[in-house]
Amino acid sequence: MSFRKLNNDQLLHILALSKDATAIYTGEELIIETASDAMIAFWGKDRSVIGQSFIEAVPELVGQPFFDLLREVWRTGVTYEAIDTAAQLRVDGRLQWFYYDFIYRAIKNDKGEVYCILHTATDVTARHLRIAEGLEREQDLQEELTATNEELKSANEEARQVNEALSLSKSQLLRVNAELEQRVSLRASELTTAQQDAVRQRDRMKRFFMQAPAGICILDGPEMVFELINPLYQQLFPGRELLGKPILEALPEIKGAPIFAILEDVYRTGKTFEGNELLIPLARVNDGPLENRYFNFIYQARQDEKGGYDGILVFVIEVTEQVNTRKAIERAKESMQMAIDAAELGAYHINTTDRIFHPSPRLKEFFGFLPDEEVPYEAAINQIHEDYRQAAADLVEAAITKGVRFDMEYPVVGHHDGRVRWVRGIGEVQHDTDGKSYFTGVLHEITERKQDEMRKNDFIGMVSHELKTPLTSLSAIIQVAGSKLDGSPDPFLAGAMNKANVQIKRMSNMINGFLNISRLESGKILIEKERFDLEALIREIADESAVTATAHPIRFEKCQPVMVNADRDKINSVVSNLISNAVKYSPKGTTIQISCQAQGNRVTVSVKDEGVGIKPEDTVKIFDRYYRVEGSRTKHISGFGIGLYLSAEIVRRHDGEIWVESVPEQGSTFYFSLPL
Amino acid sequence: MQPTIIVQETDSDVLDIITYALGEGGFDVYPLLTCEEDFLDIIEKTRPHVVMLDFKLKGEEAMRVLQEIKAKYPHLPVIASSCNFNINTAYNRLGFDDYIPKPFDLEALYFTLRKHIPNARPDLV
Repeated sequence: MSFRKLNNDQLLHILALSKDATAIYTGEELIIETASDAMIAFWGKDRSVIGQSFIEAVPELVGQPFFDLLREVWRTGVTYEAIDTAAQLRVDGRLQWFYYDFIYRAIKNDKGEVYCILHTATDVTARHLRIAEGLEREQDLQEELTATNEELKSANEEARQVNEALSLSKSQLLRVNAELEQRVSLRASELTTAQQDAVRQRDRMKRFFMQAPAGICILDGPEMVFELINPLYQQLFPGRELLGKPILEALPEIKGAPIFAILEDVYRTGKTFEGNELLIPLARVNDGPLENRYFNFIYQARQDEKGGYDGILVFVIEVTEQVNTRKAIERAKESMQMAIDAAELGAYHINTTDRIFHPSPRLKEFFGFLPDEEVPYEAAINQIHEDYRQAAADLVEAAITKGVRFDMEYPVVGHHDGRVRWVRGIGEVQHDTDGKSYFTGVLHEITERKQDEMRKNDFIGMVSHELKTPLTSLSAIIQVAGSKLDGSPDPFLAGAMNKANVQIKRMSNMINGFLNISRLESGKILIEKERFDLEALIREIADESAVTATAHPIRFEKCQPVMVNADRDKINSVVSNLISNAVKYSPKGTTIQISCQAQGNRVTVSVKDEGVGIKPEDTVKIFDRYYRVEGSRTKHISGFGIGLYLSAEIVRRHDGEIWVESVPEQGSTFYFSLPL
Repeated sequence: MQPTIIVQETDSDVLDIITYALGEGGFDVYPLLTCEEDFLDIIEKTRPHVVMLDFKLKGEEAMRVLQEIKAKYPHLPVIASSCNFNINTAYNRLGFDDYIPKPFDLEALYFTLRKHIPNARPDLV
């Protein structure tokens, strides 16, 4: 049961007063059953519309979707809801657009059949406008935005491209910048270095200039004014004023001299001139005399910026002394060569390293070659007589390798003519200034002398033979007779032959001595060394002498065996000579003492007698060739004073020494020493 | 058996006394005055133990004979007797087996000759 206080009409009337816009439609025609005042206000109509069809009531809605929508709801029963829908309505006599949120609700009965549509609406025009405005604005803004966006986009794009380009450029720039910076810094450091270099060079140049071992000066301009002079250059002209003066004023003596022409030429043509040992007469000091001075120098033209020449650089060294010395040497050489030529000496030199033989034409002649023939060392050596060849070659070797002096006489067989010539060659190793050494010397012909010598030797040999031969017979006969007479009862006969033989021995010794000295006179004594025991030799001689010199006891103080390297025969004759002298000059019965002592690197032999002695002033002369002491005590002593001279010669040739110590009336001791 | 010796000496007086002295000393002596003899023939015939040659001055003749003998009888001792002052050093170099200086000591002569006798084998000559 519905409990109502109000009736339908009252309900409708109240509902119609509702603020909310409502309306109810029925049927296909959409009859407006009821509508609120609000709705009617929306339509811009009055209450007369109730009961009319919606279409009739609000005809301006035709063409607008609403009627169709309503009919759709009526047919389907599906409620339609919409917001913010535009509707054009005539309100206040004008067609205006309004916006509504509305619902067309389908009201169904129990059977589900639609019997009315409830229409509710809210006027949202303001809101809509606002929104639309906003929307519009938004849209506008959006469009603007889009446009702007587009613009922005393109601008962006541009910007991006530009940026890119910029970025590229920037990186390029950075790179270039870096490069530049690098280059600049390099340049800067180069520059600094260059500057430092320049400064250093300038200093170096300055030092060089001041310390240069050559005189340096710069002549400026056509007047050739001394622009710059280093100390060494000034020293060439001590005290003379040069700086700032033209050369002709500073050194007037070169006017007209060839050197001035050369200077002019260099200045004009720019061609460098090098002078070697050029003679330039120059005074040393102001108003000094002109001297012949020699210089090594360079004149170099100085170029200006345009390629012409505006000055001359001068580098100069004075070589006067060297040149003069060299000339003196050349003159000396020439003199020597002239001397060699005049003496008809043959000259030679052999380079000690390559052993190339350089004989002079005269030397080639000696060896029997033609003056312009090729004569190598072997060819020359081969011409030496074979008996002397090896010795000569050995001596040359010794001279070259040990610096021994070469001095030898030898026969040479002429290459073409076969003639025998005797030559004496002397030579020595000399060292050249360039470090090379040469065996150099001269040869001269001694054929005549040698032949003389040989003739003399032959003569002596013959004399020796002639003298000795009869002595041989004599001696042999006497010895045989002596042995036969040995047992003779006659005492005289028994000893006669022995006495006779002693005399023969004396004579024989004298002849030997004389022959030796003769040989010595014509040439040198030949010393043929061998190793032998000196002590044994002395003992031999002492024993032999004891046999012949029976009047004098001979005492030999034994010493150790002493090996010496000497000519045994010659030393033999020395010892014999000293002993025979001792015998000769001392009274009978007095002792002769012989001793032999080795000390260090020498051995000394002494022969002591108790004889007449020797005066102090004679002790040195006694070893002279023909010296014989004058004196009453010695007058009766036979012999010719050759023995001591020979002995002295022999000893000296052995690099030994011979001397005497003596007290007149008491005796003498003769000494000689030999190297061991 | 006495040793045989050929003696060549240019001076006849010296040759005489040497021949006599050597005879006295127990040698069979075959004396020759010059070097012109046919030594090889004489040696063949006399079978000497020693030959003594007179080495005069340069001694060319003596050298010639020496070489001749040594060529055929290399073991036959040949001695040089000489007035040369240097014979004592030269003999060896020249090829002689020994030397006698003139004038000589008789004893030295005997001594030197006998030195070479035991070596000589006359049967091998």
